[in-house]
Amino acid sequence: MELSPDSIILWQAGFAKLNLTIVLTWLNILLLTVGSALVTRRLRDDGKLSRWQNLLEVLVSGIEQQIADMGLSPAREFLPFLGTLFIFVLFANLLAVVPGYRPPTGSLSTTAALAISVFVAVPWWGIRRRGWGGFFGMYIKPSVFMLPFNILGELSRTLALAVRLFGNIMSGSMIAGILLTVTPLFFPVVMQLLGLITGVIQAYIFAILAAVYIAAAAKVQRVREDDGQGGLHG
Amino acid sequence: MLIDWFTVAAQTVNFLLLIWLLKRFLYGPILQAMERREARIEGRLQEARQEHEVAREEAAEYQRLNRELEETRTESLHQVAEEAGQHRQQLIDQGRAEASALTEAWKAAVCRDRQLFMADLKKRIGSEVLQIARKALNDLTGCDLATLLAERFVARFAALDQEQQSSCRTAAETSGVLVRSAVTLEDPIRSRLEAGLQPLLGPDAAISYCIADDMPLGIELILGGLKLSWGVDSYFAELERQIDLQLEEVDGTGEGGRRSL
Repeated sequence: MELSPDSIILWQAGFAKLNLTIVLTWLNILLLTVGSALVTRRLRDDGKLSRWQNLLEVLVSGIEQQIADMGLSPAREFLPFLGTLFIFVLFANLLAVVPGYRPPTGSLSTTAALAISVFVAVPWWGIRRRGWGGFFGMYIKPSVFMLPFNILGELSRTLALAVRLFGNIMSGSMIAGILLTVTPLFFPVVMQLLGLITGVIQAYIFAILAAVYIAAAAKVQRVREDDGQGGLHG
Repeated sequence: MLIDWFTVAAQTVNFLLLIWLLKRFLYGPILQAMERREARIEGRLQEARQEHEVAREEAAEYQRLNRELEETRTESLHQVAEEAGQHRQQLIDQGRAEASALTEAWKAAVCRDRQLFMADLKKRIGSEVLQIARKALNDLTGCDLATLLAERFVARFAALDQEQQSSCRTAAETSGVLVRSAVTLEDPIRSRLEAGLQPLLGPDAAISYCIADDMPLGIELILGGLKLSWGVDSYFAELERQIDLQLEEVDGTGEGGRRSL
């Protein structure tokens, strides 16, 4: 049994390869894009809304509200990145109930790619909001001796982000596979339902943690500076 | 190796591609639609607020007009009531004046009718009494009333004092003598009357005669500005006074009866 769909290679030419993870990711992208385009093609801003438009509006406005609750303002600046993180992970995890489908989030490469994206997004917004000095100065506070620990913390949380999602999704698929061999009736269905819950929760956790990290770089630092100014005045 | 770095790179690109696609086909249209709807709702709310404000102002204007109308109506009612009162008082005064004028006219007419009636009554009674007296006297005693009346008149005239007789003579010589009687005096009576008067008034006194319709019974001698009368006028005056008293009693009873009603 493969631990990851990465190992199922459909096509390879030297370093480049086309494995199941990439193909299923493209499938996800295709479904999300086509579905969104179909729904948003006939958007109405008056009268009765369609069910799908209503669903998407609830989804988008809910994500925007969550981002705003995290203290990220304006929320629409962060909506494409954080919203896509959530929707992509959620969609991939939900499709896991389809027989034969291997969620791309069960691939450590995919979760690593997402974690790396977060890892890059944090300094991207941190520097845009705080400037170079303001952002990198965060790593030497409260003392310069904290620099290696801060860097290590940054890396470890990125790794944890990737491994947490991978572990949860992969384990769900593995347990379902193992149970199919032990108790092929009924029990795997329950585990699939449990896997659905886990998938939703993991998508939420992943997006929220990314929002927290970005907020920590763009906003929490400001609180620290305010504390410092207060100390000067005191 | 669980991590395939080519796959990592490809998935990163895929993720960035998905961000762009969703931004293009999901977030953008959805957020724009929501903004348009919010703008429309806000516009409608603004419009509703404006309409509410307009309605409130119109309601205030209507209440003000209503209040003014009510005040005007009350004032008009007061004015109309006052004018009606004045008009009513004018009508009452006018009615009283007209009633008073009618009453006065009626009283005058009644008085005139009474006078006419009394004059007519006096004449009729005198005529009847004279005929009855004349007939009764003639039947019972064979005497003529006119003759006796003339004799009695001459006797009374002769009984006047010297001064009065002198005044009468002077007046007779100046303006003559006019004898007025209720009935035509016969020639014998006139002769006896002239025979009785001429010694007193003088032989040159011109004596003329005329019939007095207003005199019921008697003889009246007019000497210029002097007048000597011998008749029943005092009786008729007393009779007229008694009749007036009776009529006034009847009127008083009638008015009292009307008042009691």
